[in-house]
Amino acid sequence: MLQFDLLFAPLIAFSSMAIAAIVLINNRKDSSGRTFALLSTSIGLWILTAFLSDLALFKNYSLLLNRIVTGEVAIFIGSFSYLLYVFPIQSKRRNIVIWPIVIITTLLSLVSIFSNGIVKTITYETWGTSLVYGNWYWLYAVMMSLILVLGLVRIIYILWKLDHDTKVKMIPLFTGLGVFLLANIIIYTIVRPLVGSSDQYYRLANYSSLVFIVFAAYGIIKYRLFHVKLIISQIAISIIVIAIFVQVFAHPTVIYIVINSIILIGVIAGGSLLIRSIKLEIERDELIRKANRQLKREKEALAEIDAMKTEFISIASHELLTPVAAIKGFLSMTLTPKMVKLTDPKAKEYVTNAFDASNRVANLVNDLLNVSRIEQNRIVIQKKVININDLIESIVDEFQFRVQEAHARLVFKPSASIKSPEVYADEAKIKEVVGNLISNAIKYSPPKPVITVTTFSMSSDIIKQRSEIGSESDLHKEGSLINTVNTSASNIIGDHQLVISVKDNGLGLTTAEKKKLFQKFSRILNEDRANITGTGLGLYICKALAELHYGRIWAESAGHHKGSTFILTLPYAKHESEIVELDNARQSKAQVK
Amino acid sequence: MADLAQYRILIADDEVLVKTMYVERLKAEGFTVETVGDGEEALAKIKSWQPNLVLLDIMMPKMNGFEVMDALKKDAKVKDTKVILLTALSGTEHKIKGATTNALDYIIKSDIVPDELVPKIKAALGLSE
Repeated sequence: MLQFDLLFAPLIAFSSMAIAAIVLINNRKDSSGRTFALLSTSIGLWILTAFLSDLALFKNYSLLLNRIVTGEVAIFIGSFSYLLYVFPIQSKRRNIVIWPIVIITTLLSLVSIFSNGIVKTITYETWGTSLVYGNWYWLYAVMMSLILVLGLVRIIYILWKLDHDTKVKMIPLFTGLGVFLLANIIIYTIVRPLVGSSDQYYRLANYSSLVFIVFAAYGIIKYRLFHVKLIISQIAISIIVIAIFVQVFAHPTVIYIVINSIILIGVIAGGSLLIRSIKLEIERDELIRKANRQLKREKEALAEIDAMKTEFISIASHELLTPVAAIKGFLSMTLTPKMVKLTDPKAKEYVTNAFDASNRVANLVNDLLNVSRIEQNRIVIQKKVININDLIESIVDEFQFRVQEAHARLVFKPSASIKSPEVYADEAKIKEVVGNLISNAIKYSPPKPVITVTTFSMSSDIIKQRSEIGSESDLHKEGSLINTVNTSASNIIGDHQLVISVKDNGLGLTTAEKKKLFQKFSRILNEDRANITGTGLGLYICKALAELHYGRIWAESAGHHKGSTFILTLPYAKHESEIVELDNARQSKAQVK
Repeated sequence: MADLAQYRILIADDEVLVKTMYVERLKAEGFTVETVGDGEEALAKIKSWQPNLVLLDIMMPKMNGFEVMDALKKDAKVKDTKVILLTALSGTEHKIKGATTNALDYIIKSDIVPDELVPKIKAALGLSE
């Protein structure tokens, strides 16, 4: 037994103190590093002192050494629990726990070393020395158990609270500590009472500290706990340098001395470079971790702001639109002869102007709301198979009121050659686009305009050609819809698409105007249009909606005062599966964003 | 032309101005009109007064329009009540359609003027002009 001890006790003691030193050197300013070093040192000293106490020749020395062991056990338990309150995460209420731990542990270890209160005396047995406990031993046992329980409770809390990565890193360290503690608890509380009062199995408990050392060293090196990578490299390089240094003088021949000296200089240079690069790597790792944490925080903050903005737009729009609806409604009723007799023509003119202005506000808020939805990819598109003829007929019906007001003529001529005029689209959105085109035709035309809506089929090649000449929008420029309306909008689904054309006999467009038309906030200002109001968002929204349907929209005109034709193309319903596939891809991309 | 006074229309909206506007216009047309200011009142009034048509605002205190419609569905006496939903916001059509198919129509308040409301109401009541 003694021979076994002779080999292992100093080895374990040295190893745990070496770990303590490495951790301490690298974490001098860090309370968790210092506490771990204290914990590891107390284990090493405990094993060493226990070993020495068996070797002691005089009873008094042996008694003193045994008292020191008892004191070191107190320090070990105290630093174990203390460590868990500062590492790997600092407890917010640590001061309530760690100060009592420090005070009790210090007092008990002092009492243990310098009085006979805890260890009264020792008796010699065949296997070594056995302890006779003093009057205060019960207090020592109770206090140590309490502190141990505090630590164990904290371990459970840490394991429950930590994120997965940190937990994985902590496993070796905790396992080592756990095995060591468990072995001691089992041996002192179960084995010892069973085999009588002798302490001869305590060595087994002590040697379980080897498990702690191995696991702790593995955990620290593998997961770089306590910044230990650097000092390990420093030690390794120092050993190599010393070995070569010895070599330099070990050889008698000059040539060997020269060669070894050159090697030595090379190793020193290379080693210092290596250490520097490790230092840099550690610093960089730390920076990256810091930046990651910062990014995570900022991302959360941004998400919150974004949600607030969405909420704000929704509330602001609601609060704006409700009074606008009232203003618009009352003004329109003032202009309705059935409700009010406005005899003064001036009054009628003023009210009409106010009514027009209220309309503009309502349209602007609605358009802004739509643009924000489209650009944030929050627009909900619910596609189904729709019959375009039925849809256009219902739109034309709804326009009757405004058509009569403007003394216009609005006719719909569906194509007779399209057998099944069905598209796979969002009914409300297509209604919005076609409605916008008809509304523009009424707005930008001379008195008594004639507006013709027709449908026909067009090959994708021609669509591509004509739409590229017809328009150039900023939809795909940076910061615009480039990320929201996908690049697949550049594909035209199907070899033919269904065309809805809205033709008027109005102001017409020049080539330059046609190109500007679909840009955000673009308004074509010339003397013909001086009194026509608009937000410059309508066609921008139409273009986005058309592209969300994998169709195209553009304008054609022979020039000023020669009327214009707006063309919207949509894929036929038979391409439903292809459209659904592209939509799903777009949605998953939006979610990733 | 039918006597429109026999048609009882209930307007449920917490916005007094909008409500007044619709009441004035519909009364001028000849309908019998009553109003309430929140969802709970709307539900009680529908049960007691049994209107031919309800203009039901979606955003209302106590019970929103969708909740009122759900409650109507559960009561055999009023489950066939004709409803037109009112909303301040455009772009919420999908929500309206998703929430219920019971509404005959929906109206975006800022989009239409009271004159445009009249034909919608007549259509909902099955009256041709």
